[in-house]
Amino acid sequence: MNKMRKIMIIMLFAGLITSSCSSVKAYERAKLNDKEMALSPKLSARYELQFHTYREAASGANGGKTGGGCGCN
Amino acid sequence: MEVKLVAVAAVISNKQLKKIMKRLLIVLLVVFTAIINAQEKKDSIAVNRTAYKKKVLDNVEVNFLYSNYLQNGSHAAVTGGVGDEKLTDNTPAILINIPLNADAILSVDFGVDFTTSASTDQINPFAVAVTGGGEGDDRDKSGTTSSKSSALLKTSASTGGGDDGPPAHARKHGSLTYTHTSDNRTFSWGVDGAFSSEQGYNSVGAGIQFRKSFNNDNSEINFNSSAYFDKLDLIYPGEFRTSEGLSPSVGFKLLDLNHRNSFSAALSFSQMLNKRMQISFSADIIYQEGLLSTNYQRVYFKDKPIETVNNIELAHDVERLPSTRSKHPFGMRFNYAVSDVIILRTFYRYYSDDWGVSANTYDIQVPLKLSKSFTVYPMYRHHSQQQSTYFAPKSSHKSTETFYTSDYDLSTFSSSQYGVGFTIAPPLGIFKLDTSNAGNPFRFKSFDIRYNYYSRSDGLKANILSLNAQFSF
Repeated sequence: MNKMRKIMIIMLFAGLITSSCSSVKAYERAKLNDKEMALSPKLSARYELQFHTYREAASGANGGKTGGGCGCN
Repeated sequence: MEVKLVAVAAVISNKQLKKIMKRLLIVLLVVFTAIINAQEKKDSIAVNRTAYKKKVLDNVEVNFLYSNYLQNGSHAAVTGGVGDEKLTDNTPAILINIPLNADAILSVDFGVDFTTSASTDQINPFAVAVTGGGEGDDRDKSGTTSSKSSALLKTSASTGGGDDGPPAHARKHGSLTYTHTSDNRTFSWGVDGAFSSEQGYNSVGAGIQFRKSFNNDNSEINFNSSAYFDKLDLIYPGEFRTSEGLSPSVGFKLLDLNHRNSFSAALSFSQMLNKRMQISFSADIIYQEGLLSTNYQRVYFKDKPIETVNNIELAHDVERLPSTRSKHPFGMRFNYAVSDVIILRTFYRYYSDDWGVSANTYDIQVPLKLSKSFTVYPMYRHHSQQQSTYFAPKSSHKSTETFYTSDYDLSTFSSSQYGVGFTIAPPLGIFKLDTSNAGNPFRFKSFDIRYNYYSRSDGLKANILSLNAQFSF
C-alpha cells in the first residue's frame, strides 16, 4: 500500500501544480478542442487495448476495460 | 501444516486488503464530492450556462468498428509454456450513441470476437488424435503409446469427437450505458451494464461514472467504478479427465472455484495547461477474486518424470494461482499541439500488483494534420514488465510449491509496437452525403484506420488492423 500512498501524493501534488496554471478562455481552445488532442485513446484503438490486457500482465489507468471476459487463448 | 499456515496468512492479508480498499474508496468518494461541492457555487456564479442549453449530442451517432488480429509465438500456456501460439481474431462491433433529450445519451455497444487458436485443440489432444485420423493414427502405429492408450482410444472413439468442439469459437459482448449531463454542463453521471459470453465462460458487469468540470472547464475530475461477475466451466486438459480413461497425475486435485469477480475504481484528473497543452493523471484500483488461473493451462514439474501417450506429454498439474489479486496502475497523458500541423500525444503508465508484477508502458503518437480533412498518425509503444513470483518456464517449478504457472504473459519481457493510422474527417462528411435540408442530415462523418506490428522479446509477434467508420443522422 506504500506505492498507493506515493501515487496519491503524486496526484495531489500534480493537482496543486496544475491548478495554478493560467486559465484558458473558451475562445482560446481551438487547438485543445481538436479531436486529436483528446486525453483518451481513440475508439479505433479499443481492440489494441484489449489484446494488450490479454498478452501483458499489466492493465488499467488508460480508460480501457479492466474486467470481464476470459482472454484465455 | 506449513501449507495451512500460508493459507491462513493469505486469508488474513486478503481481509486486511479488502478493508484498506474499502477505506480508500470512501476517501476518494469524499474528496470527489467535496471538490464538486466547492466548485459548484464558483461555477454557477462565474457563468450562467442555463440561458442557452446546447444538446449534449445533436444526432444519432453510429460507429462501425472492425479489428483483425494475427498472432504467432511458441510459448502456448495450454501446453505448459511450449507450443504453437498461433491465433487469429476477427471482431466486428457496432456502437450507437442515441440522444434521448437535450441532456441524456443512451449508448448501445455490441460485438462478436471470432477466434481460432492453435492451442485450443491441445486442451484435449487425445480426442483429436483418434477422431482426426492422419496424425493421430500414425502416432499410435509408431508404437510410442503407453499402456494407458487403449482405454483412451475406446473412450475417444465412443464420443464421436472432441468434446471441446472445433478450435474456432465466438465471444459475444455488449453493453448499455446511460449518461446524463447537468443543465450547466459541468457535471454528468452515468450507469452501465455489460455482458460477455463465450464457450465455457460467461460474464456480467455493471458500473457507475461521474464527471465534474470546474475552473471554467479548465479542470475536470472523473470517477468510475465497475464490477464484473464471471462464471467458468471447469474444462481440464484431457489427461485429467477420467472420461479419457487416463489416471491423472498422483496427487492431482480438482479446482474448487468456478467464478471470477473483478472490482475496479478509477479516479482521473485532467487540466488545460495553456492554449496548446493539456495533461491528465489517473489511478486505478482493481481487485479480483475467485479462480484467477486458467483451468486448462498445463504445468510440468522438474522433480517428476514426464510420461507420454501418443507422443503427447502428460502434464503433472494445471496452473494454480492465488484466489485474489490486487492491481495498482497509475497513468499520465500529456498532449501538445506543437503547431497547426503537428500534435504530440503521449501516455505513460506504471503498474504493480501483489503477484509481484511491475511494469512500465510508454506510448507516443504524432498526428500530422495534412489538411482540414486528413490526418496521418505514426505511433510507437514500448512495454517492459517484471515477472510474477509464480511464473517459471516448463519443468522449472517444484511439485512442492503452492502456486505455479508457465504462462509467458506473466513472464519478464519487453515489447515494442509500432504502426501508422489515417483519419479522414471532412467538415461536411465523407462523399458530402449531407443532402438533407432538415436538422438531421445523414453524414459519413469520419473514417479511421490503423495498423500496428507488435513484437515481444520472448518471440511472440502480432499484427493488428483496426478501423472505425462513423455515421450520424
